This record gives sequence, C-alpha cells and structure tokens, in this order.
Amino acid sequence: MNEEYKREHVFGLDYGTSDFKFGPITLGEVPEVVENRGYFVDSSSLMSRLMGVRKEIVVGRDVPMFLESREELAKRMVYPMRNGIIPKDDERAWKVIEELTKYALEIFAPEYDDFQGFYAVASISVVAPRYMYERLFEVFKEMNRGRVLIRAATIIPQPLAVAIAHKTPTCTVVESGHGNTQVCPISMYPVRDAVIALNRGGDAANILTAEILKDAGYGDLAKEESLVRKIKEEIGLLPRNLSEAIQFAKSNPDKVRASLKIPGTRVKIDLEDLSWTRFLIGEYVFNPGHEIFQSYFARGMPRPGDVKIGDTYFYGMMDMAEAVITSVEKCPIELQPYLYSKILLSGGNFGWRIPRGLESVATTADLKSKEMLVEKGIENVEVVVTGDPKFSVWKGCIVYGYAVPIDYEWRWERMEGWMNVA
Amino acid sequence: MLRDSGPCIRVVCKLRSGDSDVEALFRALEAGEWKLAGPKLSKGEFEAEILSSSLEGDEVIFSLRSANPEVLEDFSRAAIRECWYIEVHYHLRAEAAEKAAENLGIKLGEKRVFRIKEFGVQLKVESFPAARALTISYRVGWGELNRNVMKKIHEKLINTKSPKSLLDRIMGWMK
Ligand SMILES: Nc1ncnc2c1ncn2[C@@H]1O[C@H](COP(=O)(O)OP(=O)(O)O)[C@@H](O)[C@H]1O
Repeated sequence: MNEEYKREHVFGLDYGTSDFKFGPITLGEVPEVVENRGYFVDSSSLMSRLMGVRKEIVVGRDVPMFLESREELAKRMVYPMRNGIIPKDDERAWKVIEELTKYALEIFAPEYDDFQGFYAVASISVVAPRYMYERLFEVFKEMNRGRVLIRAATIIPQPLAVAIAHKTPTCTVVESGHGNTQVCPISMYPVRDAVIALNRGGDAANILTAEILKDAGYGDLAKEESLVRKIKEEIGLLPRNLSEAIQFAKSNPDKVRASLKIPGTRVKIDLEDLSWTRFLIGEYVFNPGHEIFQSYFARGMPRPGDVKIGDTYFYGMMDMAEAVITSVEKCPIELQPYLYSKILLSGGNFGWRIPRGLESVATTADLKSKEMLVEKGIENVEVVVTGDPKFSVWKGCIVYGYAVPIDYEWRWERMEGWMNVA
Repeated sequence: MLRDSGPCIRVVCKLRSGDSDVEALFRALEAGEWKLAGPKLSKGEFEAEILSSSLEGDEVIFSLRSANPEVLEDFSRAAIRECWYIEVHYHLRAEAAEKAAENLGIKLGEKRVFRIKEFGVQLKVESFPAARALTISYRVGWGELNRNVMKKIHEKLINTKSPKSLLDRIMGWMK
C-alpha cells in the first residue's frame, strides 16, 4: 500500500447528532448526507414476511418507505448519536452505526480489483469517551467481513476536524449541530479539560418554532418534526438586538411577514401578525435565558435541561457567549487572547442568513456572537462562520486523512494516526 | 437544502521531488500574480483555496472557486514551474454530472471507472450513481498546457455554450 493510493482513497465519516455526512475525497466539497438513524423493522410481523422484507434494520434513503404508525416509530426508530454519546451497552444504537457505516462505504467502494479498502477518517463528539473509539474501530473491522472496505481508520473529535479544515492550530471551535453544542479550545490538540457542552442545538429552535406554529393556528403541522425543521430554516431569523428587531417588525409588518408554501403539498403557512416571532427563533439558539421566553416555558414548552451523560455535564440554558468564556477561562491565561481572537463557528445551527430588506435588524451567527462577547467585556474578538458550516467537519476529515502518512500508526496516548483494520 | 455552487475543480500539484518544495510553489504562484493571503490565493476576482498539503511536502491540493477554464490554465501555468506534473480533478453532481457523462459518451447508471482518451490525455472517470456524482481526473505537464488541453477538456465536460453565456456575450457586445 502506498501513499499515492491512500490519498486517492480517503473517506470521511461525520457522525452528527441528526445527520451523517460521508463520502470519499473524490466528492469534492460536498459530502452525501443521510439522517443518522436506523429503523428496526418488525420482522416477525405477518406483513413484513408477506412483503419479503428480510432486513432487520433499515438506514439511509430507504427509511421513509418502511415507516409504520406513530407509536411504532417511537419504539423502532433509533437516533444513535442524539447527544453525541452512545452508551456502552446500547446494542441497538451500535447496530445502527454499523449499518450506516456499511451503507456509506458500499455506495462508493469501487468494483475494480486493485481496490484494497478506504482510509476512513471518522469524526465524533469531543466528549465521546474512549470506549466509543474502541467500539468504532471494532465496527470498522466488521466492515471487512466480505471484501475489504476499510484498509485503515482513524478517529478525530469534530471540533479538531473543523480546525484542520481551516488550518487554524490555535482557536476556539464552537460546533453546534442538531442535538448539542460543543465549545472546544484548540491549541494544536483539543484542550479537553476546557470543553463545554450544551444540551441544545438546532432541536431547541425547532421546539420553539413548533410553539410559534401552534400559536399561529398550525398545531397539526407542529407535530411533524422534519417539517418544523424546514420551516425554521426558512423563516427563522437571528436578531441583532431582539427588542429593536421586534420594534422594527411591528412598525414594518410587510417587510417581516413570513408566508411560505411547502413544496409538493397544499400546505401554506402565513404567520401574519405573529411574524415578529421569527426573531425569537434565532435569539433562542444564542440566548434561551432571555426573559421573553419565560411565557413559553410557563405555557409548558420544555426548557433545555442540564444533564450528565457519562462523565460529561451538558448545560441547558447557558448562553452562547457565556459558554465560550467559561471554556476559554479554563485555559492558561497566556493562551486566552489567542483563543478569543480566532473563534470558528461550525454546524448547521449557525447557518442563519439575512434576507434582503432586513439588513438593519437581522444578523449572522458570527456577528451575533461577537456582539455578545464584546458586551461581556471581551476585547479583540474575531468570529467566523466556516464556509458551508454543515460540512466543515467532513471536509476536515478529508484533509486530515490526506495529510497523515500511512506509516503513522494509531497511538492511544495521542489519539492520532492510522489503525490497521484489514 | 444545499445551493449548487457549480462544479468543484481541484488542482493537485506534484512537486519535483528533491529540488522543489511548498514554499517554492507559492513563490511561483506569486510570480504569476496570484496573491497569497492565509489559506487563500487570489488573482483579481478569482480565488483558489489551499485545501491541504501532504505532511511529506510532496503534494499540494488547491480548490478553485471558479469554473472558468482560462483561470484554471493561468493558475496551472504559474504552478507548473515547480511541478513534476499537475493533476486536475472535476467533482460533478446531479445535472452537471449527467451532462458531462453524456458528453463523454458514458452512462452514469453504473458504478465504474472508465479510462477515456481526449485530446491526447487519459481521463480517469469514476461514476457513483447512488450519489449522482461523477469524478474526472487527468494529468498534465508543460506539453499539454501548451496545447491548451485544459480548456478543451473543460469545454467537453462542462457545456460552456449555455444560453446564459450567449446572452452574456450579447449584452457585453451591446455595451
Ligand atoms: N440555514 C439554517 N438556519 C438555521 N438552522 C439551520 C440551517 N441549516 C441547518 N440548520 C439546522 O442545523 C441543524 C443540523 O446541523 P448539523 O451540523 O448537520 O447537525 P448534526 O451534525 O448534529 O447532525 C438542524 O437543527 C438544522 O435545522
């Protein structure tokens, strides 16, 4: 096996909390995306036997075709990485990871004879414990039961992948996906003792969006999670300053009015005089403690709670700037200014855009974070949203795999290098 | 979901082992008026991102932000001084992939590697039907660059004579 072969066969796998992004270096800048979930088919049911369904578990694009009733869904659908950590003994979750990994590799594994397996670079949460690394390597070995799909593999924490994609050795990475948010200072390596995890990501904004839809008379739609997510991405706005934005919305109703049609259905949504609530959606991501959300909590909207999973504490309500400061302040004082001067935001939950006509009141995640940090007295802050924030982890996986020479073997002390699995 | 940002073109520079290194390559690009700033290079409105370089320092990958064949040639001409050869990769998806497959006379429906000769250059074409993706790569040196092979291949892969560019030309002429 030579270096040349490896460079052409690097394969990135980003196990996100809701989406799994994967694909070989040959895909260019954009990976394939499927939901990080698996559906356990009731193989004992008469119907599935009649229909000739032989699979025990379905992943990838075919999942929607197998869905049964709502109650069954809750029991049979497994999102293995919901909060970034898979419990050691959660066999169903590991089974999903195994199936998804196989699904991903088989889409791209070439049929030619001189194919000798990919060099797989996987990325998981920075709070993932060591047993997850061990188990994932086992999964990779399993992939080679028939023919060799993976020659060697390595695993890197998601924030490190982001830093690599941006070639920034000293920085603070804030990775906010669907289920959680990780704040991770990096000084060549992730400063693990300084990591702060939040028990919220894009899912929190979905919950608020559902409440807003209910208030606007679309209670039936509010139950469909994937629809709510799409509506949120379309209509949600991140305000520069919440009260000014609401003021603006109330005096310029036409400019802020949200109305949208769901393609392929007859559904049309118009928030009418509740259109000002569009600004609440983005604000909630950054600052769920704002008093304006109290009324929603009072009416029963669940509050993101503090939880402990494994050895990691996930904060529910801590605001985004506070999370960055708490994390950076756990690092040596001398390092802190460098960490503030390069803050990288990645993950879909930072994808907020400014629609035309709302430039004066809506903002983007980088400007919002900067403003919040400056308000808390931090100087010389520089924040950037990574280009294509949803894909920067995958891109980092590819860059890493490409650069690390094949003879650099995996070392547990450093958690780096290639583990031979073939 | 994702906005199609057009074809992704990557340029892999294989450095002349022994007497050339990454720094020399950047100097050559700068001599070709490509300005280096952090992980990016730019010339006028055109940008190239330095995607990665191997730890051994024998290879650098750039990602071009423009699907303009003149820019691709210009960039490669500057880089080739320090390179043994240059490898160009096109990463196409969806309609663009289908269009290119059609132009090359192959079908996207099958997962396969094709070797196709065009303008005296061997193209390696890899198709991934499940992802509606097509990857095309080829190598060039001085000789091929002088024969404007890059531009010809580009035009073969990407239908540059689209109605839009025609309209653009007419508009340009009216001005
Ligand atoms: N343009 C956007 N504006 C706001 N949120 C977005 C946008 N695009 C994606 N998201 C949200 O980002 C989250 C998914 O981000 P991603 O980084 O893929 O998560 P994960 O890796 O944890 O699966 C979802 O909650 C999604 O709704």
